[in-house]
Amino acid sequence: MKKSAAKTLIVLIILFWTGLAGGVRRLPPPQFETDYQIPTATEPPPRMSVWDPADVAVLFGALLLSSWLTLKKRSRRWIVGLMIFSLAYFGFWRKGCICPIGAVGNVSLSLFDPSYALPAAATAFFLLPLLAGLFFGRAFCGAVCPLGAIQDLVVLHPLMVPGWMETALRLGAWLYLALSVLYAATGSGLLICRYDPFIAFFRLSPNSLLWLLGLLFLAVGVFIGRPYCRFVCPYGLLLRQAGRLSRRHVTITPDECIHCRLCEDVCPFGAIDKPTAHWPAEIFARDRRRMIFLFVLLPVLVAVGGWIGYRVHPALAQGNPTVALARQVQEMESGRMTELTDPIKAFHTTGTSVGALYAQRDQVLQKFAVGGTLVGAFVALIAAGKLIAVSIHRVRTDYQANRAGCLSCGRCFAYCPRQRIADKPESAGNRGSEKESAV
Amino acid sequence: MTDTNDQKYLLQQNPWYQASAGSAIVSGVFAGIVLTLLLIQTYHIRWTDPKQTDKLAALRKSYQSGPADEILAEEIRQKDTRQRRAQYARLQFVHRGSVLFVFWLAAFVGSLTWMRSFRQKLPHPVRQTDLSIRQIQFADRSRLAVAMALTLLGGGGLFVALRPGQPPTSGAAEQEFATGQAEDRPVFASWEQMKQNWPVFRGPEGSGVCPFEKIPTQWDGPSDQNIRWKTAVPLSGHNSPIVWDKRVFLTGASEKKQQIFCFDADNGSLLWNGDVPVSTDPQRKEMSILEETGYAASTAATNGAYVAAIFADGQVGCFDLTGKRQWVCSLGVPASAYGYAASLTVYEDRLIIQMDQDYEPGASKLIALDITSGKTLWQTERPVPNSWSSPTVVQLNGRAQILASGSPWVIGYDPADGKELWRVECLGGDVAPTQVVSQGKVFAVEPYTHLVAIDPAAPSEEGTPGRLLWAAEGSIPDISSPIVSEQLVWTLDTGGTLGCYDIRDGSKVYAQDLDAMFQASGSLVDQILYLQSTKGKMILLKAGSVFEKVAENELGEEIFASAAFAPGRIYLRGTHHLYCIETKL
Repeated sequence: MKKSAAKTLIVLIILFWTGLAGGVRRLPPPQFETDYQIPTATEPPPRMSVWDPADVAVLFGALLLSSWLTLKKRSRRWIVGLMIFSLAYFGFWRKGCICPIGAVGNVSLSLFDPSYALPAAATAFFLLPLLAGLFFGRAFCGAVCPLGAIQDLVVLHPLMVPGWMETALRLGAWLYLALSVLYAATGSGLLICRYDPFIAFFRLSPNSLLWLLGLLFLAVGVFIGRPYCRFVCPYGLLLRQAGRLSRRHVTITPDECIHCRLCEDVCPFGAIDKPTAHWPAEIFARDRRRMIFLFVLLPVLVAVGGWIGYRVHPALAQGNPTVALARQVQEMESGRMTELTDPIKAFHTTGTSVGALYAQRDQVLQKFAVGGTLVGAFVALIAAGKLIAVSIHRVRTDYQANRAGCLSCGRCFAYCPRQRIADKPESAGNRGSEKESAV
Repeated sequence: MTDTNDQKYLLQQNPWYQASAGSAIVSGVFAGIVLTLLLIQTYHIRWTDPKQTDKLAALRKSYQSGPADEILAEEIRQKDTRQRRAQYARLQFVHRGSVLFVFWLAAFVGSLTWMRSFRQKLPHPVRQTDLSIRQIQFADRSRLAVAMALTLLGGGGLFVALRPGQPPTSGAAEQEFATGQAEDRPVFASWEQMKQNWPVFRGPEGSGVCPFEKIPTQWDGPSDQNIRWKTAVPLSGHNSPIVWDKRVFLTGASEKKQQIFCFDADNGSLLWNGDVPVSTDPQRKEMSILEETGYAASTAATNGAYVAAIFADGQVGCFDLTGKRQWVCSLGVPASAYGYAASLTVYEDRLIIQMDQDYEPGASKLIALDITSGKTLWQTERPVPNSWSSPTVVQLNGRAQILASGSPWVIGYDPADGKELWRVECLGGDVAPTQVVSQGKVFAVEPYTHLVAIDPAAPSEEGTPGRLLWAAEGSIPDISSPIVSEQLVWTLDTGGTLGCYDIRDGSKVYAQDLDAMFQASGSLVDQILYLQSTKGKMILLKAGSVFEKVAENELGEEIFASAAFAPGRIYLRGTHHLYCIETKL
């Protein structure tokens, strides 16, 4: 118990350290005349159009291969090989862009802003892993996602995060997903891309605080398997739901579970469900009453969440560039700020009137008022759903990979005696006796 | 124990294990060194270099503020160059270092993983606890954890939402929040108290009708006859004085300064003046403001607890009566052909602003700000172009209404939420005169064209509320507002022709040339019309159906503002001075 509490404390401290990062400071151009001619700013040429279909093709192939490796080949070694390839290609070669996780923002923006044309590659990157998830489970997370791969490779001394804590911590990911959609929908920015903790690694630009954030996630990842994937990744939440509905899914054993318990604690992501016992009748009745109460409480929680979201919306809107600029201009106009900042100077060169800026700001605030209310209501709905879900009694007879939580990494395969037997075809004739000895 | 020692011994003898351990140590040390150097460089880039930039900026400032100093200029150049070189060298270093770091980190992680493969332990399941107890514990703890997480998120949200200094939820107002003292003060005066003062342009209902007694009828500015006091106004402006108790308020502005002034009503001393910052919007410099309008044409307004003013650049400032600034907000530089001139008015705790700019959606609107905080309480779009008329708050048909004129509408609004109560299409052109009310009827002016009478309670031909009763032509003003009694309504055009009409049907009673120019709106005091010419002459006429002059009084300087009244006193603003006129006993 004490050991478990200490581990919990370590997990909490490590997670507490993870924070958001800032931008990069640049030097202004010199203010005095020299012989030096400042070169004219040039825009990099657009990427050749052939590369977008190539990326989609690589993604498609990698998803198929990952699915085959996890469902048919059942080889952790090959999965690691594909992971390294994905990390090299989608991470360091493609510099982490475009990725399905960031595509959540692009898709949200395209849904709410008719003037934004969603690139075909972004659409494909968003949809393909979800489709693969519906058919084969989280094949993308297993060996294709560069963010997952870089974290997976550093899992050296995994500590188990208690399941109840994981359930609660995932609420933060839902909030992040909702906020990401809100910011994208209001044209305030793509949060997921802006705060991608590994982008500084992929782009080899360590003079940013994001780089430290990435390092921190990796350091945490040595002890807590894939912290970003499990507690932050908004796209992972969508893949979790796809995994629940998946047609086929990773299994720990290639054929039947012999209840040897050897795989019980080998998943560093806590994604192995243990067989359930018979629920005592009084507990069953109590939980049924609790569930009815929670269903009654659900609209109240959603309403309170929506109200809090509405009240928070002015603060949330400060992340919008128009609102932030209007606030600076207001402070200038009211005499509380006396020195012109660069954004105000830039704004004044646009020729837009302050009134027009305020009108734009008010429009954005109205969007945030609606969006903030929805975000609050949504998070409350998810939390209420979680409370209801833990009151549902599920029956399991075998050790199973959790359909939502399993990241298809293939670590558990090697721990299953049935897999060992399957890997040795010559001993097929002795299966019966080996099963007995394993038991 | 022996088994463990044997395993260790075997591992140490394994050359591959030793190779993995050695490579882990080497790569780990290198990765650590590179990481340390990168952190040092990052520290310099983020924290040390900006300080150098600040020092350089200070040097630049001293160079710019002082006389030309070539030595200092050279020093700045050298420091700047050194700083740039240092920073770009650091950036290059971290870029190369990052490649190295990623390499060594990958080697380190790979070596550790390799090492680990030699030390892998077989799984050893511990004794299983009762499954049902574990399930129940899991469910209970999950519920508790989710509830705690939800409480934390909700609490955090509430903390953010309710902490002081929270940004405004909407509207253009940015407030400097009043201190706690503001909550102790009354927020607004009653309607009866308002009627005992002169709180807005042309008095409580904006009609120019003075209810006070013993108002002087004879004075002479140059000889100080019946001039109780005369005080120079520090900044010019065509706005009119307003009065609350023992205080008289005015505003003034120049290209660089905008102020509200508070004078002692008894002796004319300047009690305080408050700054309203000039807008930094570059459009302020491009404002087309006529000299006749100026930067401070709009009259201030008070509700007995606060006084607020608006200027030509859309800056609104609010002060308490002791001169403590409560808030300032910017409505943006108004688009106005001659300069913004609509005066403010108040209704209880609401400051009402008529911002008519253009037909474009959102350009023209009636705005109600919370006078205590500057927050926008409501704003209603108005389907009108640029206008210079002022809103008025009146008691009409048993309820308070805000009236506002602008081509082509005269509209009544609900002060509670800004919703339209009625509207009548009857105006055109550049509407500047302000509507007045008498006997439940509203009288408004289309410049140069006609005077109209409206019954807001009667339905129009289309069945909508508000009916045009009549329209009268004649001496119709373009600037000054009409004066109305219970039987008659007067108009005074800029050229000096006074028209008198019957309020029942608009029939002309008389028209008389006063041989003077007029811009300020006149007043009605105890059956006498007070009409001030631009040259500073106040002409007093009997407010009857026959033209009859009562007196002519000189102020001694030009007048563009309307008079304000208090019991026994007139407050008149000349172009340079504020006058208090009182009959000396």
